[in-house]
Amino acid sequence: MRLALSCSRFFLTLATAYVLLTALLWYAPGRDLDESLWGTAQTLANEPGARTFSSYFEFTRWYASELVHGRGGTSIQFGVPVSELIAERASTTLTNAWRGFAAAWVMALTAGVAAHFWPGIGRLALGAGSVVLSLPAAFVVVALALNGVAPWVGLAVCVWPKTYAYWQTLLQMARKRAHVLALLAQGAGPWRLQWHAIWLPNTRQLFGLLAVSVPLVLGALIPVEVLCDQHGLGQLAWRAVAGRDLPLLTALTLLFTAVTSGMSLLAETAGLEAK
Amino acid sequence: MRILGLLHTRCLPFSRGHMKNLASMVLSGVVLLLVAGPVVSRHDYAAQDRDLILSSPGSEHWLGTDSLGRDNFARFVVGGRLSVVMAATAAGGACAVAAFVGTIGALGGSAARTATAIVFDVMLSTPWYLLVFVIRAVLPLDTSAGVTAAVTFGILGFIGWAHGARAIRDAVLGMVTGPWIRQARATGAAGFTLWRAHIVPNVGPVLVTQFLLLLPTLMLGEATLGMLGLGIPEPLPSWGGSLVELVQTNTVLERPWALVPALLLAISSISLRALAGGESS
Repeated sequence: MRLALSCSRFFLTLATAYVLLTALLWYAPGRDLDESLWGTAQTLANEPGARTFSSYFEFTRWYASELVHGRGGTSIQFGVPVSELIAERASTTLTNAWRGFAAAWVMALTAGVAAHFWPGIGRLALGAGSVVLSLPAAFVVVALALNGVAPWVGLAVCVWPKTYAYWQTLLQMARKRAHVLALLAQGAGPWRLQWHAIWLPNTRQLFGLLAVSVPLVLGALIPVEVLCDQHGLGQLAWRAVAGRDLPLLTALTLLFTAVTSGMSLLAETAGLEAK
Repeated sequence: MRILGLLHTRCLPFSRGHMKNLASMVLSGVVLLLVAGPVVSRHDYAAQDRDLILSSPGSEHWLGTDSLGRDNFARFVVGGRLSVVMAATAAGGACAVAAFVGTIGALGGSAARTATAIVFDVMLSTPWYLLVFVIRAVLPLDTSAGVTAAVTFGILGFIGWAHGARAIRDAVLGMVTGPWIRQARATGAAGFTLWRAHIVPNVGPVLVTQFLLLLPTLMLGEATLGMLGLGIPEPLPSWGGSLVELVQTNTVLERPWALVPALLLAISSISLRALAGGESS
């Protein structure tokens, strides 16, 4: 029942995003102009200007069928199908996102485990994390990029403080549980305590945390790709704004919304309060 | 705030009260600078001195000039005022919406609770950068800088209300089952009276905390958008817009004073979050 409710929320999120975005496209300034340079609903058609829609509902129906068939209209700026552009750039984004995500988790888990044995490292990690969180993500990315650091490291540095904070909260809650206190009283060693009493019983929540960190990575991806000149989907979205390329921007927003909502659904399924 | 809370409980040798006082003092200093800055500065933020482009700090221009010969100090101070005032307005609006929706979600029965939970999920699953991008892309090209700035902060505020609303809903739900509400009900209080006399005063601190958390989030969000060229547009100054210069390779080494907006942002952000931590305790 709970899973069904979560799934219905997922589809409702997508439907809301779809309705809002298509409404924006339909009512965008310049809709009535017969020029493919303007972001109009009409230019979503594969041949700009060739298709006309008599109503908003007709347009949404047509756009939905385009999305279902994996097309999503034609980019105004680049003059090629949106799906082609996304396919072309997805690999860069996936590579950056995957490396950044993995590095953020390695940093968070290493700091978390080290803090258990040497509290000084925990203090250092918390101090560094609060400084990173108090600066604009773009500033952190630029500071690292100017020092020759790879873009995915910038991504990891932006994401790890939140991952670490979630992880530490989860550990703190776990340490207060009765079975952990009982093991402590029996004189269990620190590794045994970490592994058997804290990590293993929290595997589900750990998967939930993994799912929660994906939207964090996606959020930091745009400044990273724009400022480090990475030809990925984040940079594509930014270029779409500069070129007022609404068909491309709509498709990218729907894609990112689907991923974010999907990850929230996964986190919820894992029994974790997602955000 | 979660990480500041952890930092406080783990490492700081003084109490939350001391931390709150320190944060208040630092914030007062920043506010004083932003209020008094334009009065003591002898330059207009938009005035250009083409003979003094990218000059170093001196008696004439305290923090040097930018690439158009405009006084950096005047631009940092006016930009800071603009960022703080607009972020505070957006955060205030977001908190008002959060209080309204959160209270309805808690007191409006099971249907209202489910409906608000769905709305929260939809809002929190929206990739906010892209939403800002879409709305900025549909703005007419002749939109003025002021309107663009207001729209940008408006969108940020619109995105930010859901977190607060969820916290308020949870707080009100906790209060409804609390002993003093049960006692009030037993003494005959109900409906609007119960809400006004017993719930609103107790929701206040939660609302203040949400405001203090949202304010730095919006300021940092605008700064990141500003560095991407999508924040407060020229000729209006902003902290995010001032940081764009840092994207060039040698800026930090040649003109370290360009870091002042980042420093002010970090100080304000840490202080506001520390205040929020003190408030929530």
